[in-house]
Amino acid sequence: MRKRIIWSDIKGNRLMAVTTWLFMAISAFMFALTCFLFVSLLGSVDTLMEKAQTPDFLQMHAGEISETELLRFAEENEQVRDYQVLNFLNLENSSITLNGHSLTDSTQDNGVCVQSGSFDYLLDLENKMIRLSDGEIYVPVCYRQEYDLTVGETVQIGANSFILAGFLRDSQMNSMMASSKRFLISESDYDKLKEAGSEEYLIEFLLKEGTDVNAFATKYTDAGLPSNGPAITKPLIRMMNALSDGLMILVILLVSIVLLLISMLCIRFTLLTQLEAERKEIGMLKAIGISKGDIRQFYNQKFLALSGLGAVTGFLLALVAKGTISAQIQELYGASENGLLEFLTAFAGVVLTEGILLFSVGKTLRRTEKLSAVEALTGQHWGQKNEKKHLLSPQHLIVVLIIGLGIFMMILPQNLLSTISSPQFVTYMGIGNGEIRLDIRQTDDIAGKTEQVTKLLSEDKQIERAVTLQTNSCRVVLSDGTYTNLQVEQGNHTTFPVTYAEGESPKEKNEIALSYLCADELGLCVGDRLHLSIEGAVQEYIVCGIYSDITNGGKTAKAAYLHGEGPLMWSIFYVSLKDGAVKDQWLSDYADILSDSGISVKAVDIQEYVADTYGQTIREIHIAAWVAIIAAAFVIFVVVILFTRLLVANDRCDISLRKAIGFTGKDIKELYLLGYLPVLLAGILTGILSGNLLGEKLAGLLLKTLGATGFHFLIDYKTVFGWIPVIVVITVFCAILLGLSEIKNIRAYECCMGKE
Amino acid sequence: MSELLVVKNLCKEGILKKISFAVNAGEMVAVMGPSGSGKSTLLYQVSGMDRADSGEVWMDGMEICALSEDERARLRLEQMGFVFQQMNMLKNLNLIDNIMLPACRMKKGKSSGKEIEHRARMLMRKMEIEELAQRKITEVSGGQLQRACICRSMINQPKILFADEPTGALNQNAAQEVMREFTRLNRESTTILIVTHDSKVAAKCDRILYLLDGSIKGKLSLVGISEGKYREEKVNKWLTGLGW
Repeated sequence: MRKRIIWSDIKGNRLMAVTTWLFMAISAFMFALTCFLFVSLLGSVDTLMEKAQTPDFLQMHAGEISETELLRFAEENEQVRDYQVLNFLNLENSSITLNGHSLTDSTQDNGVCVQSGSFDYLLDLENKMIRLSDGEIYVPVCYRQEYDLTVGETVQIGANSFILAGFLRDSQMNSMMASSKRFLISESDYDKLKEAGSEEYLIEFLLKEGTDVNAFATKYTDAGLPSNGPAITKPLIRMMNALSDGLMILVILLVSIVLLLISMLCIRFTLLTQLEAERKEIGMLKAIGISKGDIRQFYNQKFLALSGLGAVTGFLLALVAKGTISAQIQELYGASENGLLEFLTAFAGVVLTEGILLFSVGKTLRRTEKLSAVEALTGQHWGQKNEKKHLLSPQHLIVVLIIGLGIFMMILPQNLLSTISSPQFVTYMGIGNGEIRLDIRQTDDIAGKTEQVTKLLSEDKQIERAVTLQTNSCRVVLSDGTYTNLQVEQGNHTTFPVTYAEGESPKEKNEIALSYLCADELGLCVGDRLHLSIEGAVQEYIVCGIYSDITNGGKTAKAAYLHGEGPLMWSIFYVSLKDGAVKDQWLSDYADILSDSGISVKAVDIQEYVADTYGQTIREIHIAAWVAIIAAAFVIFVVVILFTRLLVANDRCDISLRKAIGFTGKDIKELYLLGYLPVLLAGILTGILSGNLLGEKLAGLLLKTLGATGFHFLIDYKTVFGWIPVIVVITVFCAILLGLSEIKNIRAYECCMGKE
Repeated sequence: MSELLVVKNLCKEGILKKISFAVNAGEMVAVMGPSGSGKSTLLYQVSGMDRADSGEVWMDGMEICALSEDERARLRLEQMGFVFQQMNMLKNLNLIDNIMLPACRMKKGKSSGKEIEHRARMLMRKMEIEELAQRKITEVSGGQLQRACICRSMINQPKILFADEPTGALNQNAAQEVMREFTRLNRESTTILIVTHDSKVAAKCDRILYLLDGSIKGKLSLVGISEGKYREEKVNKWLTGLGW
């Protein structure tokens, strides 16, 4: 009987049933998809790192190394499970041509290497260790799409031609956020190319489980072993791998949360509408002795059935869609071995969504308890006796919230997009906001070369501003008297500042700013004191700022002045050109000048760097942002139609009366349109405020988990304050007109016949 | 005859003022009075739909004012039947499902689905609406719908039937049909309390209570007076005497 009642009710309230099913399906789809993608990304990254046997600690170095000393360190250190030194031949980008496309404009450090002997393998697209013959080359998989490459094409390196034998996955450098890319060739080909580039070393360690990687890194540096390049740990590699696609998943997650909220509101809205329409029936049920628990259970079961069906639909759709959407993840990192976990997590996500919606339904159904049988039979409304009259009805408020959330859903990805696309975004990643960046790394006599470049820059009349920042390796004295290594960047940090999550750039001699990861590890906040040991002397510094940094292992510091000098690791220069100077020409001229002076400098156009590093992410967020706008507009459209139809149904008698006394359909429509104005304005205002303020906090919170702190939106005002409100106004206007179309079917005589 | 419903000093928000009366088992009693006299309010209090401010309502030896809301709901479901002026039924269910609805919610002595349906069909046959069982509530006339409401009120074999203006929304023929059914049910020993302002309806009852400004101003027993015009004239005369 109960099933029959529920089924009859669903058939009788098709619009309500379809709305509930649809919103539940959308929510379940989004949440299941987020879970699938998130677990799939982590699973794929983990699987790749496991199969490739990614090192736990990696030190880059250019120049002489003593393998004997390294071997001794590895043998004497119980934490080391395995160790190896890999050669990486850094090539001029202009010397590499992929099927006719030159890499001259690439901001990546491209080079060749041979297959590793013990671990850190380069894998093929089936995640198997690559074996290749002379004359063959494997290209990083991230270049496949970018340069539209296929197996069998030609890759030119200098005067040498190679056959593209396949694409490789590099567990360390797969992400576009990693600044180097390794091409794989045979040992004899490597020997042939040796003279064409500069050789660097990757000193890699596999550590025993439970080893503190940071303590190990300190031990390594203390042993005086080669370390003039960045040191990278496995967790950082994992984060870099997850970050680029993680941002797209982040947008999907945020949109999912907003959609869930909208679904909750819509389902609440349809339920309220239904309760209002069935007020008398509910009163009658109460009068004949059906308990409030039974009435609630009846509605609950109906919503359980509808939302359950929606959940299954959403889950199945997510299963179908995940293949297409995760194609990029699969391409870069391979298949995840987390199949069951993906399935279970997505299922749990759907169950959670269902639970949240049913909880919301349960709360709304409490209204039925407020109305006594007598109140319902005598025609009183919900809690009419006790409630104050509000300006907006609960339904009005829900529409305001839904329009607000819709705009929030439109604005958030747009803001994220404009922020990441902005040249300033690099300042969240630990990079100054100059136009050009020059790096002197992994070479001999860094100090001398730094001095030469600084002099050159100071004499250059095309330059508006320039700054030299030198990174020294220092030691922090911990509270227990032990030390840990810290790379401190010394120079004027106010010329091209990074973005600070807290505090500001170091200006005074005893001030130091710490990266978020570093401050977190040392347990320091702005205003705390830190002791640096440089050349044996201990000097006290005050922490003046905390910034986010994903460069150089993420654990860095910035000081205006260092008392004494530790070993100089590298130098960077930020340059801003005067108006009229042509950036490309300047870069080309400097490459010639520096090359003539025998200084090996990597010069990067920061805008190009952003395009290279975040290009894929920006493209994904761009798509997500448009999908969000279309989805939000659709949701607003559906809700406003529903709401308008409800209004017209409720006011049927009034409309008929108005017609009877001479109002035209147009007059009545105008009244409704005017009545919508406050709802629309309140919704737009709520959406813009929440999208910009709350959205920023939410995105900041999620980005913090990925390592970027102190996040502020860089708003595209034309889109946020112009286009989006216009789209919403047009959508709402069209939906109202469609919703009001029923007015033409209401006859003037209906009111006289007492029809409800 | 034993007293099935006993009301003592019942008060409600100034609408009902210390009302006392009793209804015997098997009796059909009408409550009359002008609009605003408190007739419907009285029915809501004595049936346990609403809680009185003071006074007592005893139903078959049970004080219903002392019961919780859920207990009163259970009592209404199992021991009382209701027929209202507005023929409230679930619009998405057909007639027979609406009639069966209260029986499906019974906890004590719950019957099987087949038994309930059989009982519903029996009731519909008696009310001559069995052929309408599968119709939607919008597909039948007002009189047919009210007879379906009576079937619903009888499905759990209640001890007492409360009717609030059961013929108020019906035309003359339909009203007569409905009253014929009430009379028949009463003859089959169903106790009935009808709130009405139709003297013809009241004339079918054993007793009439006249309510004015929340107090009982008159009582008329019609037991022993044969049905027909004389009975109706007697009622009208009595009502005129009370200022009707």
